[in-house]
Amino acid sequence: MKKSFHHRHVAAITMILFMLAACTGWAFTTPIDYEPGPAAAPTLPCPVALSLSPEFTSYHHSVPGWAYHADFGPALQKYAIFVARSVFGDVQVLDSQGSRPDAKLLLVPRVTSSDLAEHGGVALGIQWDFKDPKTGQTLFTMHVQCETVSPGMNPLAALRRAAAGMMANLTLLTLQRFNASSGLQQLSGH
Amino acid sequence: MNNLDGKRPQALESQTRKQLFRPLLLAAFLACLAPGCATQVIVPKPELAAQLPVVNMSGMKKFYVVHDVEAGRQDDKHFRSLHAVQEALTDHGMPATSGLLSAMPGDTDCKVVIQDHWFWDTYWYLLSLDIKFYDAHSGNLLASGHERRAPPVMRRTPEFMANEVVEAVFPSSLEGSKP
Repeated sequence: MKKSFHHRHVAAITMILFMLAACTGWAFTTPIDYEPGPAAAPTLPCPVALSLSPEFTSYHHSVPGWAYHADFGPALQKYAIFVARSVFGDVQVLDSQGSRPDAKLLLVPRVTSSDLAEHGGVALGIQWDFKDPKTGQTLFTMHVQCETVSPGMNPLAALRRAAAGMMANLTLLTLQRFNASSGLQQLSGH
Repeated sequence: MNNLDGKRPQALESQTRKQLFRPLLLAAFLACLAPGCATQVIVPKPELAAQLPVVNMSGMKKFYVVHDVEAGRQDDKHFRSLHAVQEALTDHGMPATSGLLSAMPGDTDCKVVIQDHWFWDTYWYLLSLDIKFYDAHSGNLLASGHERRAPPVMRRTPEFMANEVVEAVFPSSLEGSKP
């Protein structure tokens, strides 16, 4: 009897904590499980530089008045590096301004939209700008966006599952778009 | 005799508990499975429709985004929709500006009229977005797109929806574009 009484209290306290979190603005972080693994042989091999801004690598999404937020930054960093290496192969990742002298292109990804929906809906939009490394002029742009819905009764688990699925789908979609683009083939000299 | 009388009700109670416990456990197990099954199978989809351009619009270099009804459309939500469509067009190789219809530049090639329907359900969200593309000179309708997202799990930002509609109307923009 004592044990079941204790469990009821724990459940009640958890519920109260969730409600307090929602009321006070404190948020549970949804982890993004994303490990793309080693990149395959490049499809459009050429030397490129990849510029990752602090806004991109530390990007997080929070919903005002909602008790969850997602820290997309680390996953986005892995995504951008994996995509660049899978397509172009020879990639220098820049942490500051200025690129390698032999780079044919400067790749600059940025987030255009993000979303966390209740009960397991996650979405992300990425704009890829391909710039002249010497002048910084934008030569080509490509937009990729993806959403994954993975509903469930446990909101945190559902979001975690949806986020992991969304990142995997976003990677696949980006690779398909890059490899199918005649504009990118021309820019990379293929 | 007293001991025997004392044991009998205990044994009976234990058996009754077991008899009750098994169906309850089974019911709880099935109850846990049922919502999972239902939510895994039924995933709502957005309503997305597009009328592709009736003429070649690749020569159009200046797009101007306006609201269908400007009166009463001046709050932050509607500005956000307007800005989202403007950004989506620019990101897809169609340089766009936005503002009041009366301020539309004379050299505009394409007038883009949007209709956004916001709805409140514990928070404001964009329920539907219509985008119509008109020839700025002749006034002819060239293309249009519509999206509606009602289920909570499918609600998206205006930026996401604007990009989705633009990509549906101009599928060739998926390959990327020159600014």
